[in-house]
Order: sequence, then structure tokens, then C-alpha cells
Amino acid sequence: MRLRVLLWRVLALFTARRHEADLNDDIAAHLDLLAAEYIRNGMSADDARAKARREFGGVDQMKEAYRDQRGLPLFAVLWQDLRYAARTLRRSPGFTFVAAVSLGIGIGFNTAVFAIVDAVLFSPVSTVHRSDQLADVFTTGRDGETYQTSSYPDYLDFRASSTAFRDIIAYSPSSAAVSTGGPSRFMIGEVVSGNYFQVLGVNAAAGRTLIPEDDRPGAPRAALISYRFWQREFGTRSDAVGTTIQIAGHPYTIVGVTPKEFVGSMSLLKPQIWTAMAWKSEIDDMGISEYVPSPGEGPSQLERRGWRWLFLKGRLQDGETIERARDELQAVNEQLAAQFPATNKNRRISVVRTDSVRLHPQADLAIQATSALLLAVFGLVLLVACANVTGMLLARVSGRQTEIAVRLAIGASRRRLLLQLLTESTMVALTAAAASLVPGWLLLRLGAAGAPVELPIPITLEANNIHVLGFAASISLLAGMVAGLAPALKATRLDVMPQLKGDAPARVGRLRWSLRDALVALQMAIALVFLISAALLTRSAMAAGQVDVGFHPEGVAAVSTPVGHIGYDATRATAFYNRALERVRALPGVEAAGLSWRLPLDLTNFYQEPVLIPGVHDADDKGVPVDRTMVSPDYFKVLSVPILEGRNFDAADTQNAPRVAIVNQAMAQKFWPNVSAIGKRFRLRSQDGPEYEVVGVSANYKVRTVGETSRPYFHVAAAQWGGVSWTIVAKTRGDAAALIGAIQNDLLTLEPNLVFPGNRTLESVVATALLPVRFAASSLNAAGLIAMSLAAVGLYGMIAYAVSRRTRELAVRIALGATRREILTLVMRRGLFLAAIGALVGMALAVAAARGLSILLYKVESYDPLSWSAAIVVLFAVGLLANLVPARRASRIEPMTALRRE
Amino acid sequence: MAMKPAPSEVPYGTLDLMVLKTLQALGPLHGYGIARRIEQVSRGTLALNQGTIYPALLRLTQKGWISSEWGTSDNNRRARYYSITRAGRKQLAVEAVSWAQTVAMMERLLKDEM
Repeated sequence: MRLRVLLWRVLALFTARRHEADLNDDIAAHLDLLAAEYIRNGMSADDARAKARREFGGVDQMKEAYRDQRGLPLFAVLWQDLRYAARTLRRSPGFTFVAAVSLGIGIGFNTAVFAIVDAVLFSPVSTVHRSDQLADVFTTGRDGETYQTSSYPDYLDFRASSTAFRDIIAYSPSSAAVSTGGPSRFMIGEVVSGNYFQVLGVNAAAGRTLIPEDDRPGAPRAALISYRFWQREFGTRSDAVGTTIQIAGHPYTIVGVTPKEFVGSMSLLKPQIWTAMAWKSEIDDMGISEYVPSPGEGPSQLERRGWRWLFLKGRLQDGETIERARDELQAVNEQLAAQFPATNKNRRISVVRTDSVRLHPQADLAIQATSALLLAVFGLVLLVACANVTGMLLARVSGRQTEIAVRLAIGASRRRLLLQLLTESTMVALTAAAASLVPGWLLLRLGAAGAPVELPIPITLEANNIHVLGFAASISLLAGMVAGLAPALKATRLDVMPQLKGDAPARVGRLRWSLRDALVALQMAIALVFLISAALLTRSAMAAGQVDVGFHPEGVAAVSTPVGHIGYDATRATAFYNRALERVRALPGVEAAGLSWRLPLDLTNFYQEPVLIPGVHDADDKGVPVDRTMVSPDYFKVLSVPILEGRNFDAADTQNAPRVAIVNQAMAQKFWPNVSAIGKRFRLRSQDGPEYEVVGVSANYKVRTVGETSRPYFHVAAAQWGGVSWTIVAKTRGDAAALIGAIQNDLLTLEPNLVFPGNRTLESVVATALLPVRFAASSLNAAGLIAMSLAAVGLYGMIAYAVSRRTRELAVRIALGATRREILTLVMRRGLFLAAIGALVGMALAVAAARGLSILLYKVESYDPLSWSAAIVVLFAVGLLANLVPARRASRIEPMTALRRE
Repeated sequence: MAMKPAPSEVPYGTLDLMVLKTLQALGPLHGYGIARRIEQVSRGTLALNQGTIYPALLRLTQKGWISSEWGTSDNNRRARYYSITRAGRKQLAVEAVSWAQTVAMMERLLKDEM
């Protein structure tokens, strides 16, 4: 019954006008009949009409009761509030505009950040058929980490023996230079098993997907491209299918395009190219890779059981469970461990639901933390914007006191007025949100298009992204409430009588501390925190960019040549590298060429070896871990790292000669302080481990990070180490990137089967190492800029309003002989006072912020006087400017005009 | 001479019952007719603002106990004629019983007290 009544009432909302007319007819008919009866009883027409009205009772009260019964009173009130709010806002377009712009900036940036976070954390893992049936399969790594990759031979065995999984796919993120005719672009793709698309249940948007036939050895090179790639490079023309493109220097035929919503198996990386496993050797993988020697197996990555680099995903049979699938694969793995102990002993299998993984079970945590931090920083910006609007609303409240007093006096309840005022601020916020979506969207579009490299995470603010729109709507509502609450409370706590009598005093000159002042000071304070943080990070980035890394990366090319993977043994490798280095040195422009196992500042290689000093460390001592590399003699020349003491490696340092090492100064200082390290000895790993004699001391150079202070490092002669695969490093007078290509071509004439899994210029390695501090600096600069502009608007608005309220007082002062300059100072003093208070509070807060930032800082102290004073100067300069405009206006008041108007 | 008691307010909730009973007894009626009938039956013991009948009629319509149809009044005006529905009759029966019980209970209570 209740539901029926509710339904009736809801329907009545849409037919209110007709219901009203019907009721009027009813009343008219009733009154007529009543009056007619009195006339029949002998009354005059007028008397009869009057008596009928009395008998009927109050028509308006009855109508009101009738309406309450008919509609939904709450809804009607809300509608009324909305219309009233819209009317009020239309009447003061200036206020509405500035408030909406302030909130719009805050909301827009938060929405943009959320869009990124959403893309990272909440976008569908993959738009594939029944993802609830999918599970990710991981093998534990040598280091005991749970969620590591698997090898191709293991994959084939898993796939052949699993019954719980209907089928299993293997894939790895890959990277390659891709060219559609023009210059190459570095692109992220996926190398996939032939059954990949069939198992995921993904069909092509154009052409066809990759099929098992594409994954046979010797099958023609086929590539599937993403919808985005198709749009950008081919304008979604259908003749793109069949076109040949260059991937890592090899011609691939495009066989099809993936659907628009398909994001690959690692949505975060947004792969754009899919190629078959069969051609893996041509394309670098870039996921998690681990290598243990697997004796007696073929040379290629697809044949080596000890080379783990593949992510596996299986589709469960109906009714099968994750646990069963895991137990089954674990059993397979135990058989493999018995059969191939060198590669498969002590490994465990983990199976995780695909839907519960974002990027990778371990990486997910770090991503979530970073996202939360970003949202917090920009949330603070929104808070500044809210403070701005609160300030403006408070100003309006004092201007609207008479209106509010009238409404209170004629019986509006306080609650009703409160709601009314909150509706108003919320409406501003919603308007701001709607307006901010447009520039926000444009900004993201522009940012994505203008980026020089393919962004790893394409940011999309699509109208159909319900998360992002929902977020924008919620924070707008929240911002509206937060901004409006204090003014609304203040407005409705008003003493009615003096307002109505018109003798409420407008605030006069003295400095009285009000909520509005506090808000402006708070904005200034937050802006200062951002400015100081941004200044510190910018200085760090600048310092890091100019830092002496201790080596010269200019013109240095590094080409990884894993000849071990194409079947070379140590003897063949030595012969190959001797000839290879000769040929590279003969290339035009090359000044030096050598071998290295590890590159400085390479984030992927942090190898350390325990070092023990005879006579210092005991037999059961674990030693001191020190970073280690192996190099050929010319390495030092290529990197321009001087040998300060002793000698370089030379041709005499062979496998049969005594083992020698070159340590850097930091290591020499650490182990043999105050004496020469030359001739000193140390052992590796244990007191029974190999013993090395220090023959040289090199200058210090950066090993892991740009920010580190001289880290101990030692070099072992490559020829004595006996490794098979090396990275060739060469220095040219010309372009290092061009040298990479030249070296590759040259080496291919020497060994046609050679593959090049990692080619980098040393300059790009250094640039990558500097990326985190640069990113942090630029995002905090953006936040600081916004917060400062908002605070400036807030201060300007506050002072401008104060001036307009004090027009009469100022006019009197002028009339009594105050000079323009005096008026100017009078007004300015107040604004600068607020800026000063804000600066003090901001400095206190910035102490904490700077301390938190210290891990990111490089060559800059947390209390760097230059950064701090620059930030404070900017704050006051902006404060002065925001102050000057209204102050000048105040000084130009024409006393007669002003006083007459009042 | 005993004082005639002043006309009392309509007890809360009884107006709906009166309207239902009136419509059941007399068939379709417009608002004026219903109000007149209730006044006649009360013989001046009830102070009824005739207008209050309309919110009651709306309430009963919403609950589905009465329905209305447009017609023409005696003096040729457009007027709504209300009639009781089947659900309304059922409700009337239920409420009549419950009302009778209440009255009987009150009567017993008041007599014992005096």
C-alpha cells in the first residue's frame, strides 16, 4: 500500500499543473453549490458567498495541505532551492565566474590525476572473454621471490600436462623500434604464443588476430597492431592490413588490428604491437628475466629451460579451481626438477586470479602508494581552491545579511536557509566541475600528443568513463559542501533586528581577525609549502643535470651481444670479441672500444659481491658486499675514467695469470685507509674464495644512482673472469645512436645469427637515472603554480571586497585630507600582513615537507636558503600584486560620489 | 437546561471513515455532497471546515479506496464525483468493526468510571 502511494505521488510530480487546475475546479464548484444553498435559504448573493467561504475554511491552507499530500514535499523544496540558487548566481556573474574558475582548476586537476590513477588502478585488467576464468601462473625466482616468470620449455610442459586449464598462453612485454616508413619510434608490444588471442577470446577489429600458424618456426613475420596505433599511423584505413612495417629492423606484415578496448595482458603498459613467439629472437623482452645456465640445451631463448622471462595465463575448465590448477602444475614442476635439477630445483608454482592482479602482484603495492601520494598532493590544491570559495562566500554573506534577516524574520527555519545556502555553493562547484572537464580533457589530449616518447600509460578522459565522471561529481559535491558550510552557518546565526533596522555596522578599518583572513593566510601558507618543495626539487634536478657522474657518457654506445645464447663457448667467444673489437675500432669516428659486463647507472644491475680482507675478516665472516663489474682494458678509456694509481689491465692478465683487480678510490679508502691500496689483496665470497690483487686505483664515478656519494666499486679483468657474453662499449666523436646501428651491421657480417637484446647510448642511461627527480620537480612545480595563483585570487578577492565595503570610510578619510599614498598604504598593509602570517605558517609546515622530500633531494639541503628565500620572495611579490590593484582603486575613490551614493 | 456541548473538532482519522461510509451509503457524490451529508448526520455536533474534505479525498484516492470521475454539478459546473471502490468497501468493513470495538471499549470504560 505504501509503495502504491509513493508511486502515485511521484507520478503527480509530473502532472502537478493539471492537478492544481482540477483542485481549483473542485473548490469553485463547492463554493458555488454552498452559496446557491444559502441563497435558496433567503440570503443575499454577497452574504451567501461570504458565508460559503467561511464554511469552507481557509482555501490557501487547504491547498497547501492538499499539495503536501499530493507531491513529495522534500523534492519540491529541493527543486525550489535549486531554482533560487540558479537565480542568485545569475544575478552575480562575477562571483560565480571567479568561484567556478577557482574550484574548476582544483577539480580539473584532481580529476586529471584521478583519471591517471584510475587508468592505472581501476581500468579493466583486460577486456577479454570471461576474465573470471583466467589465472596467472608464476614460478618462484632463484632469489625466492614468489611471482617470477617461467621459461618457454617449462611453459610447453605445463601446457601439455594441465587438465585443470583448458589452455595456457605465454607472453612477455617487449620493446622495439617500429617504423611505418618514417623515423622509428620506440614502442612497447607483446611477444605472444600462437594460441594467445584464441584463448583470451579476442577477435580482430580489422583483418585477423595472430593464430598458431603464425607461431611455427619459419612462418612469415606477422604483426597485430593496436587500435590506437592503427588510428594514429593509418587513420583507421582498412588497407593498413597487409602493409609491411619495420619492427627492430625486420619487415613484418600487419595481419590485423586489435579491438579498441583491448589493452593486452598488462594494461598498464598499453602494448601496441603483438608478434609471435617464433620470431622472439629479433625483439627484446622487457619483463622480469632470470637466467641460470642450462647445460646441453639449444642456444635460443625458446630452447633454454633456465631462461625465465615469460608470463603465463591459463583459462580454467568449467568447475575447476585455482587450487587444483596450482597443485597440478606443481606436480609437473616436481617432475621437471627431478629431470632438470640445474634449472628447476627448489622452484614453486603460484597461481593467482587474473582479475585480482593489476600489473604484477608485487608491483601493485608500490603503484597504489604512488597513486595515493599524487591524489593527496592535488587534494591539497583542491583544498586551497575550496578555501578561496569559502572566502568569497563569506564576503557575500556579509553583503546579503539584510536579505537573510528578512527571510528569517518572515519565518524561514534556520535549517531551511542552511540547505538553501549549501545548495548555492554546491551548484557553483558542479558548474565548475562541468566547466573543468573541457580544459582538463584538452590538456590531457595535448599532453599525450606532445610527449616526445610514446607515453607508457596513455591517459584517456573519455565521457563514458563512469569512474572518472563519478569521481568528478563526488569531489565537486564535497568541495561545494566544504566551501559552503562555514559561510552558511555564519549567515544563519544572524541577529535579525539590527540588520532590518539598517544600522548594522559595516566593518571599519581596524585589523580584526576573521575566518576570511584566516583562510587567505592558510592559502598563502599552503602555496608557500608547494613553492618551497618545488624550488628544492627544481634545484635538485638542475644540480643532478649538471652533476659530474665521473665518466663522460657523450658519444658512448653500448651494444649487448649475448653470444652465449647462440651457442658460443669461452674459446669461440674470446676469438669473436677479439675480432669484434678490432672491427668496431676500425669504424669511422670510433676512438675506443672495450667490453663491459655492467653499465654505470643501469637500474637493472645492482650486483654486489662479498669482499673479505685476509687478516681483517675471520674465517666465518660473511664479508662486506661491494658492487662489482668485469671489464676489458679499454673500458676506462671509453668512459674516460682515469686510473689514478697503479696500472690498467693488459694483455698479460689472462686466465693463467694471477687474478688482479682495479678498485675505485672509495673502495681503496674504505678497506685500506691512509695507505696505498696497490699490492693489497682481498678474497671474494669467503676466506676460501678467489684471491685478487689490487693493481690499480681508478677515479670514483657514479655506480647506481646520480645521488649517491662515492660508492665503493671494483673491476675485474674480463679475460680472467671467463664469461661468454659481453656488452661492447665504444666511444665515437659522432652520434652514439648511429654508432649502435653501425656496430650491429658490422657484427652481423661477423656472426649473422647474432641478436641484440639491449642497445643503449650511455647518455640515455644517465637520462633515465635522472627521471624520478625530474618528474617530481615538474609535478610539484605545477602544483605550486596552481596553488600560488589560487592564493593570489583569494587575496585579491579579499582585499577588493574589503575595499568595496569600506568605500564610505575611505571616502571620509579622503575628504578629511588623507593623501592617496596614505590610503594606498592603509589598504596594502592589511594584505601584506595576511601574506606575512601565511608565510610564517607556511614556513613551519614546509619544514616538515622538506624533511619528507630529503630522499629526493640531490646536492641541495632541506633548508637550502636559496630555495626558501626564492619561494618567499615569489609569495610576497604575488601578494603585493594581488594587493596593488584593489588598493589603487581605493586610492582613486572620489569622496563626493562615494558619500552621496551611500 | 443542559448546556449544549460546543461542536467538537473532527477526531483524527475518523474523517476518512466517514467519507467511505457516506459514499457506500449514497453512491457517487461530489465533495460538496459528502461534506453536507457528514454535517447532516452529525446534527451540528461536528465543526467541519468543508475544505478539509479535499486532502482526505486525495488520501483515499492514493490508497485506492475511492475513485473519481468528472461530471456536472446541479448548477452546471464541472465537478468531480467520487465513488467507493471494492478495496474501499473491504477497508470500510474492517474499520467499522475496529471502530465498533473501540467505541464499545470506551463505553465500558467510561461507565465503570462513573
